[in-house]
Amino acid sequence: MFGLGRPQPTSAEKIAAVENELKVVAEMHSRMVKICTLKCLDKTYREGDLSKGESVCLDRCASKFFETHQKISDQLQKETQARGGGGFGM
Amino acid sequence: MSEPVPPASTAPPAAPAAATATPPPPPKAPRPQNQALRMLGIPNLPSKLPSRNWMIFWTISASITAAIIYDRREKRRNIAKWRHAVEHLAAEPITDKLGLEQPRKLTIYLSAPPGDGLRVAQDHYTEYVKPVLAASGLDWEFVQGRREGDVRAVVAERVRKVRRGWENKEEEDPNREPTKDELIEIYRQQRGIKDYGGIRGDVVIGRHTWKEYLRGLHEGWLGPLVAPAEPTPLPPTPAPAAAEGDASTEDKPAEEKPAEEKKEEEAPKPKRPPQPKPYNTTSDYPSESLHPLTPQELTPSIPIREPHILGFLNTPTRMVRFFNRRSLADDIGREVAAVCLATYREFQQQTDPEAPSADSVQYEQAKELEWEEKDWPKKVWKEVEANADKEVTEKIHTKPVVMDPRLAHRMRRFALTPEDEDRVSKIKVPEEEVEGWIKGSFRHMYRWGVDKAFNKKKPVPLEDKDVE
Repeated sequence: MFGLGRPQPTSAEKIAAVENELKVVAEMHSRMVKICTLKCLDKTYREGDLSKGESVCLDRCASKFFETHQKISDQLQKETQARGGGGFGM
Repeated sequence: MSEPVPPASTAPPAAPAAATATPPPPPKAPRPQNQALRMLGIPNLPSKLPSRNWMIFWTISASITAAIIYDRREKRRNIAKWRHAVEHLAAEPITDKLGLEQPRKLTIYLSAPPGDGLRVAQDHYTEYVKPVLAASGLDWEFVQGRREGDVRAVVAERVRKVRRGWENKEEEDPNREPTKDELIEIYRQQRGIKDYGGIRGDVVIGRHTWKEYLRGLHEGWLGPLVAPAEPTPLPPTPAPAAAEGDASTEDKPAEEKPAEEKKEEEAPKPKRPPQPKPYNTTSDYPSESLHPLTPQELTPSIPIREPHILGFLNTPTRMVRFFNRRSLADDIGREVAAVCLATYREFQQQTDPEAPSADSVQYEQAKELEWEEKDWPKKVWKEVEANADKEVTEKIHTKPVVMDPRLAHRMRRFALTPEDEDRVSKIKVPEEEVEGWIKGSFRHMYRWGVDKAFNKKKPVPLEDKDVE
């Protein structure tokens, strides 16, 4: 049931999958923007432009976010696979 | 208990006196109690101090607690002072509106202190160095070494990369996969994003890392660009230090081979790549030449204190240090602020006045943080080759620092200017910023009370109606 015995996906399914993926990515992006804005930006908004500290902070925040995301999704994938494998074994 | 028995006349507790004494003296009336206290239901305050032993106990615990609290607060105050000293850097607006300009990037060198793990160094960094760096709005990257020599290898490889760029660009192996950093570099070149052009900086934490850093610089700038052939042991060196060096270099390949074979049988895939061997030795320095394109000033660097002492018998030393962390925070803050402000000076050197010769020159680099070596555990100094870590390619921590004058003159050290010192000494950190939760909540409560009692709320006009 987990991917092995499945028939080839039709084009509609493919499109749905891509759309789904896009949704996930967009959601992740908006979450990242929200978190990093909270973390880095000064709420008084004295300047129209970013300051040096804020830009570095945003930079690091984004890279940390993606790194964490990558690690978590890797781990999740591993766990799903392990569970799937266990399911087949039984 | 050696406590002296109080004379009978001083009011003894009423009940036992009445029970044991003979009838004639009628029990004294209890002392008149404070009316206000009695009405509040608070009993009489004890009329004498607690016993001697309790006094000792309370005094000692109270003074230790007070010392810890005081030290913590002052430590926070010192760190906050240096944070304020560099804050203005973070508030500068970026010059490039697209945000493509690269920020100034420092390199932090961390490595496991002798006899302990990398985590200790990381914690030390987080506690003292990071707050100041984070406030300054600079970017930084890490070079972390788990074993002796890791930092040395990275420093040397980076320098060699710069030199390779000068000499031969064609020798790049086309089949080699570009690393992540190289990919980023290529991407930036394509987009026309320039690297940061100003002064960078190397922050080296601890004497052990500093030694590796110096060795790595020398290896990178003076050593050959191509690794010496693997099977041949390093050329026998005629220098005075060769006696021990020879033994270690000749023994090692012989020892390593069986280990490697075993490894292949047991675990064909090592967890991490082996540490690259050094390309030269400290005795090779005088005979090697420096590339003519070598800049007159290398990237300024700074060694940062990392007091780290192990062992039960060293408890007194550790206690003293534990109660004086405020001064450590101040020292480190000063150094890190100098890095952030990018002010630097030359390293000094002293010549022995009695025998002025090239050998007797005392370089400041070699002396930096030298006292930290006394804290290292004894087993570090024991040259037990049998127990030596096979993956360590060269002992650096226990060897004396060898400086080459050509590089020693080119190195720079971060240092605060007197003007900056002056400016920082005027910074007053308000108590509110450093106080802990208890005092902070008291202050908060007081504010809230005053606010409720005396500050009348101004009605806010909203849509032509006054809203409370």
